[in-house]
Amino acid sequence: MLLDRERNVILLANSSLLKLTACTQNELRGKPLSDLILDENEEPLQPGDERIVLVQCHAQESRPILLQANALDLDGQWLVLFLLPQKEEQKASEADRKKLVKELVELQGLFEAYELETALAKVLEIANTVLGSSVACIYQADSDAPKLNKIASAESTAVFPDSIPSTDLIRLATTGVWVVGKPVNTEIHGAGRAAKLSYVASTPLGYGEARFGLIAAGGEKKLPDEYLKEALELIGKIVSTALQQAILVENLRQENEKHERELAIRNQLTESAQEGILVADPELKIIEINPSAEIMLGYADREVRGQLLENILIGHEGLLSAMQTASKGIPIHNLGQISLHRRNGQSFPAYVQMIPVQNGEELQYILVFITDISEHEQIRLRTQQLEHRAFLGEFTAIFAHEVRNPINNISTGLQLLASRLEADDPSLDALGRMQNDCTRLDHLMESVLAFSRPIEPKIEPMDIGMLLNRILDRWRPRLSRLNVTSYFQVADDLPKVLGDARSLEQVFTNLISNAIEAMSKEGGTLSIRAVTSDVIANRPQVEITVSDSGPGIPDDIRDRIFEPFLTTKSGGTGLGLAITKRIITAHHGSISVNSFPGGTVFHVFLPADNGEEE
Amino acid sequence: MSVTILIVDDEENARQFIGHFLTGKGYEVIGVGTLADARNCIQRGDGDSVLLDVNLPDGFGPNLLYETAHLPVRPPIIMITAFGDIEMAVDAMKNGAHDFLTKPIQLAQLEHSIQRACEIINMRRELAHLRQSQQQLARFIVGKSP
Repeated sequence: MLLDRERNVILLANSSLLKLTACTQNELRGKPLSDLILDENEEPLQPGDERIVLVQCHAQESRPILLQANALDLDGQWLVLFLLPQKEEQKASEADRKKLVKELVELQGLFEAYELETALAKVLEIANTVLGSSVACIYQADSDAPKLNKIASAESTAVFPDSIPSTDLIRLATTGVWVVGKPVNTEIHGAGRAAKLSYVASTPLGYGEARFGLIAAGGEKKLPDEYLKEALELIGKIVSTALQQAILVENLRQENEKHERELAIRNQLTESAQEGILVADPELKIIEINPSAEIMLGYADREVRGQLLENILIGHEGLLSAMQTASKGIPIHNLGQISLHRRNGQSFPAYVQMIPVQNGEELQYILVFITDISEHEQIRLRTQQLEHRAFLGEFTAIFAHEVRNPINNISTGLQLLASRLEADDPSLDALGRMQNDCTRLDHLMESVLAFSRPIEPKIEPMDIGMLLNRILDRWRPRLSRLNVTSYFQVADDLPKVLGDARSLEQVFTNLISNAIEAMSKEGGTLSIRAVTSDVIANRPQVEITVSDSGPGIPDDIRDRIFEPFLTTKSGGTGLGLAITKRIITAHHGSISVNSFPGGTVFHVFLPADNGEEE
Repeated sequence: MSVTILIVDDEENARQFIGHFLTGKGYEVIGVGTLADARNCIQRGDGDSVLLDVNLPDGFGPNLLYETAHLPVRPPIIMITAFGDIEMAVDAMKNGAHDFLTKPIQLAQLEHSIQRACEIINMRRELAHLRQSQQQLARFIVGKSP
């Protein structure tokens, strides 16, 4: 381009310039230079000047270009202006590239040298120098909400928002640069405009379609688009890799922790299981056995490792074929009750299960579970028998007692009839016989009662406070689970009670369990109190109250709750309170109840020990 | 003057039969089913003698023995205990029961026991009567002196 310096008008432009500016020769000729070129430097051009200026282009954005001014004549009337866009960019990026390479080397090192968070902050600082931006930050997708959160930033004052909607990531799916004047359709661009930045560049993080974040940078002074995009993309790639790696490492760590926890649980289970557990490989060689199996079979773990299963599990013939079946990957859940031999040759009944462990098609391990039922069965049967017997005893006792009442009434009725007849009345004989039968029945019931009474109560002075405390302690876990608060109060000078500890334990366990059951829905307050009572002047008694804040006993059954075979619970026998009352009566005590909507109070009176020999 | 027997038994039929029997023998009868009612009757002085069952819905029957021990004139109490409960019977006697009967009640025995109770009741009445007339006599002699 040829310039008349004096008049500051363009004289001629070559075709390259026309191409660059997209103007025609006629449009430029005779125009002042300032129409075409925006120069920050106010000084008029001198020959030999080199400046970076903005060239106003036709229908294009203005671009910075290196301008070289050369004098055509001696006094510099005319200047030949060379506009060198390519050269300028090349120069700039060459210098920057060198810097960039250096910085990039540093970038890689950052993630090794620092924690992720610090490293990211440092990356952004470098990004600011490389990109010539003033603010930069990294967003990462939130796993719980459709948004991205700012995880690192290099901003002197917060420009970019703390989180942006994930739609921004969709809109900014490719590396791009927003400049002032372009429409704003994402939050980061809006933030850039609000902060009066001249541009905001961004690049997504992640690979291909799987984008998980965004780097945004912005500043007042913009470097060329191409350079910005390239540099930002590069940084983006590095950050993506680093983040991806961090996520993977974190996942691995969590996975590892989970496995360690599972392993700990598994080990604990194996160690403390009642069942004997043997682990064998597909060749049926033993890998390990648990302590229960050691005890059952009489071998130590280290002795049996590598031994064939069939050499250790000795018993029934079916056992061998079961092992073969299991090694084909078919589980045997119940081999039935078979007889196994201990090391010393002693045999014991056991349940055996063989479970193959497969990973896909491949058989990896065979698990053998052995349940020793010899001891187990004995204990179970004995407990069950005792429970049954105790219950049957109570049941029979109460039944017999209840039957005696009508028998006695019939007997009395018959006597009444007899007393009204004349002495020679022929019916007297029949009445007498019926009465004898009543007596017989009564005696029969008496012997049933005597037989069914499982334990004769052993009445002796005992500390009822301690007993109550012990029962309450046992219930405490259940209380806290059901949100029941408990109050327990025993008078300081409470005398001992004449009672049988075991029967009284049954009484109070029953009352407390009823109280808790009444409050099982909404929780409440259980209160137990033991005080000296002088309701009867010359007979010292101890009064124990058990109260709950449950819904109370319905009116229609309140008067009959101590009657046997009356129950409001599904599956109840209706014997609980009847047994309770029976025991208390046997103690020469008494029990009564107060109930209203909002609470039930049981009062138990038991004779106190006044030091006399009974 | 007739004697009133208070029957304390929660079995209604038992109260009925025994009541009918005793009415037939010329006694007045009051029947109650709970310890609380019995307590009230005794406090009012309604029963001259009490026939008391052990197992009552609101408490231990023999407690009535303790409760009435402090009364100036305690009605003779006949305990009805279950067959074979010797311990209870001994206890009852120790605490001042007039007699004890085992179930099933033999009405003849009951009548016998009540008759003996009546002797005590009548003796007490006679005693009270004598005292009263004695007092009146004393007043007659000492009093009216201006």
